[in-house]
Amino acid sequence: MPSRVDENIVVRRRVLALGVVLALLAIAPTYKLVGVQLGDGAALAERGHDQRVRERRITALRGSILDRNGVELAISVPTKRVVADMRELRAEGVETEVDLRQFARLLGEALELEPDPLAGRLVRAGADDPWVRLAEAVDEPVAAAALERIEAEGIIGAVHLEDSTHRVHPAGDSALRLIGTLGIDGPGELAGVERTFDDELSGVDGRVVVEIGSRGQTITGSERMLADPDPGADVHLTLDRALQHEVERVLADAAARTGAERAIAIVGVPATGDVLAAGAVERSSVDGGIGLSSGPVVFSSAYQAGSVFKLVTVAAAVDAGVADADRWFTVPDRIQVDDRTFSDHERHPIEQMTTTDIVARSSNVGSIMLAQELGAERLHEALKGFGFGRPTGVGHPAESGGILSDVADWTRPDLAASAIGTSQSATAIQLWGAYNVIANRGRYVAPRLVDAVVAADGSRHAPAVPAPRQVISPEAADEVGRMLEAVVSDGTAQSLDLPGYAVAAKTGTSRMPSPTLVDPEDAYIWPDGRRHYLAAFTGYFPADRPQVSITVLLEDLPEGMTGGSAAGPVFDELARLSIRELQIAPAGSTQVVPGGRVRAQPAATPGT
Amino acid sequence: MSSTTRTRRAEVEVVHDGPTVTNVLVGCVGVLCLLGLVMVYSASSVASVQGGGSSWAVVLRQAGFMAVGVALAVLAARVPLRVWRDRLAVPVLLLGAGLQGVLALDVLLRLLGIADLPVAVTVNGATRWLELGPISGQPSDLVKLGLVLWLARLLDQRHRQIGSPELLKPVLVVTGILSAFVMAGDDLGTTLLLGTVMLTMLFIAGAPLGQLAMIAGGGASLAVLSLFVLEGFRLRRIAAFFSPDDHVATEGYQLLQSQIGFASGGLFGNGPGNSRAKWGYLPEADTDFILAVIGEELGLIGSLVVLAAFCCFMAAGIRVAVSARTRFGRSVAVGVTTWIGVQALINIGVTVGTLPTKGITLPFVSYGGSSLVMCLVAVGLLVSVARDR
Repeated sequence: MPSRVDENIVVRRRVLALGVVLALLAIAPTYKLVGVQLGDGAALAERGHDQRVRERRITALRGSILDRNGVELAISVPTKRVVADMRELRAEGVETEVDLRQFARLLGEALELEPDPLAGRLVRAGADDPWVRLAEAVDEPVAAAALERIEAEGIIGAVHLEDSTHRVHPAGDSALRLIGTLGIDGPGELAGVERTFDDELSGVDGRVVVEIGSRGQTITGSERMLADPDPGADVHLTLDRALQHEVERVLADAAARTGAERAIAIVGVPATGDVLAAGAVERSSVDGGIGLSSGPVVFSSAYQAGSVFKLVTVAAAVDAGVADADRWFTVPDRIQVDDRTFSDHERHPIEQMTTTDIVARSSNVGSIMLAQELGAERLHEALKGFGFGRPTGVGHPAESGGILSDVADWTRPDLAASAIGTSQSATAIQLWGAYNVIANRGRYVAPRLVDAVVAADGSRHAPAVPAPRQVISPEAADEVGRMLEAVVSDGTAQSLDLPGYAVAAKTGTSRMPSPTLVDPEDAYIWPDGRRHYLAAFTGYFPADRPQVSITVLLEDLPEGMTGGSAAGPVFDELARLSIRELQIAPAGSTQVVPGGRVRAQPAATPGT
Repeated sequence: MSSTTRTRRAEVEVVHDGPTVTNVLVGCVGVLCLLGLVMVYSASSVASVQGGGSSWAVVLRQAGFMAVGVALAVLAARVPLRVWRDRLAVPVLLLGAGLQGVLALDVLLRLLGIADLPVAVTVNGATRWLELGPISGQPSDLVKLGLVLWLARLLDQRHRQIGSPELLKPVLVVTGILSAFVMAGDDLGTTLLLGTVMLTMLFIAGAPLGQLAMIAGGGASLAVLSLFVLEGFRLRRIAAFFSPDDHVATEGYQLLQSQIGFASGGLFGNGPGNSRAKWGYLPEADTDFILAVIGEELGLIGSLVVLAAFCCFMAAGIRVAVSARTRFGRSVAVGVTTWIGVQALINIGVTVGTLPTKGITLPFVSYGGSSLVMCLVAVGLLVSVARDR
């Protein structure tokens, strides 16, 4: 048995040994701490950085689309975008197609959206895609409630809300086919001004770096802006919203009154090419009701517009010196060109007609005689000069160039058909632009829909337009202009009644080719066994100092309706509207209405 | 003249020795407690707010426990060692063993499918918490205190039998029962801690080294055996420890996130409140893995301060043991120092990745009421030993 003293010595030693052991035990964690925190921790820190740092986009606010007076036609308002992180979704156990579809159902219910498109996006997405857009333009409260619901189902951190914008059209559907609409990926290929000026409108998205917690929540104070979003520029159209709305209303009434399947009208300023209003309505194939056209038909639909093309034939002949207004022609009511016979609209004995008479009475035979003297080359050249055969470049991606076949392919009957407008086809905007040549004393001014692009910093630039070009001499144009006046005073457009304003115009009535060939002998017999007619009325006023030009097309009219009787009243009504809206003074009182001309012809427009 | 002065100075040193050690002890514990309070707030605030509560919810509870713990510690320090030995040691042991026994009973009854005791709380398959009305806690903390007190009393009363098998019998039986109760709650960490405390106290009491080696060897074999007998999750944890990257999504995830926290902190840390680990990446950020949050926010400097504070605490504890007047006091000092020191070292080892994940708190620092209160009472006991002269 050890003594007390011995025991004390042993104990002291052992206690000190304990101290040494404990101190030694502390060495390993110290070494490790220094190693991780001072030494080789960079890879670990990088790993931490990767798992929590995310770069997010801040959508730039899209610019507005405004009318010529600054009235908003399309504006963007902030909303939420719903995106999914496929990696997080997988981590939450939503992985197989069955899972994804079930998740889409839940999400669709919460967002008040169809589940199938959502499921499609989820199933198509790459398994590691961290940013799959599921829904755009979701109202903030709906989006927040949906997120809550998903998290309540235990799926946390896989769905995020981002700031986004939604396009709103304060003018409703008016002019919407010109402006265009936006889908989930922005404007579609043919979506109007939205598409043409997409680069200018969309601006540049900002970028922000955030750190997120394990559930995807943003760590307070961790946001770091890499680049501020750069808002898009505003696009100012040449349209006048009030006039546009009225034009659409007048067209709807006209379609209802005449039984037309579709009605189109353009109102604009010939000197500048500014389109003030371009409307189209059509009859629903479902219930027969009349509504705004579902497509940009003013620019996209080309017509065999018939007699209105005679303007080009006559103008080219006058310009070439083939005929003046008073030259006499001996005109029968039919003419044989090789194997084809062309006839006038009404039977008549062989008559003496001046060039003016040919235009006023819209004689097919007379026009063909003029064209035969002119020759194919010069007629074709004139048609091109008046803007046919290629898009006008008005600023709509869906614009058609119409059809104008190569002159080398023209046969003699083709020349005759071209003279009276049954060979080529043209859009409403092309016809409108062609008649402006006469109003502008022989100069072609390209139509335009966009007046200016105004950047967020206020800088303004006008989009490039083709320079105006002299197509026929001013004198020839003046002479043709007088002939067009005669159409209204003595010819096919006598029904027009606009006291105080001299109008120069041309009517047209043409058979529409059947969409499917029913009768091999006659391409104009439709499946319903009848012929269908297109009525046109295009012109400008006041004839001596043109301020407004109008083109009206009524498509698919019942038999018996003509350009004068069906489209004339529409022209008349639109002319009255324009006079009121644009405050155009009657003849003999030039400039008495202050502002009228200024409003119709902005000082900044080129070519004046 | 000079020799007298030297003698006096020595006397003065001796006289002041107690209070100085006490100051070091209280200072270390104070630093750890306050740092703990701040870091528990930082680490728990995000989870608290996400849980729909106030960011202060957790830290206010911790502050309450701290107040209770400090009050009990002051009381413990004023209770004379004699009273601890003669009146309190056995009741504390019985109370701890009884409460832990209730948990073990619950596990047994559930295994047999007989009943599920409402007072026992099972989290992640581990039954470690008791809930008695408004009071809840881990009885294992009381078990540690009870074992230290009872063993010190036994080794004092029967110090003449040190080294004899007669003495070992009660020691091994009691420690064995306590360990069994604790293991029923699937708590290998605390079981190993109990064994370590027992061995250390026997060692200091003068038990022959061969005997100690045999006990240690036997205990280690039992521990290894239990690894294979019990469910696989501890095996997975150990596997994860050896290759954390292969177990990123499961067992190794916690360790990986802990190391990312340390690594992100660097030397000076990201600043108080700026931990990223606490944003849901690091599970148990405010309890077992709080050192990782300290390392991330306060850097290597912060984590080394914690380590240094525990080293000072252990040194002071050893000093108290060396200068203890009685066997009982010395045993208590060694037991408490080993308990708290080894628990801290295990926790730190786990968070930095030198030891497999255990589920053991960092004394004074981690969030947890019973752990904090019992550790503070143990400090009071240590001060009581230091004052006993």
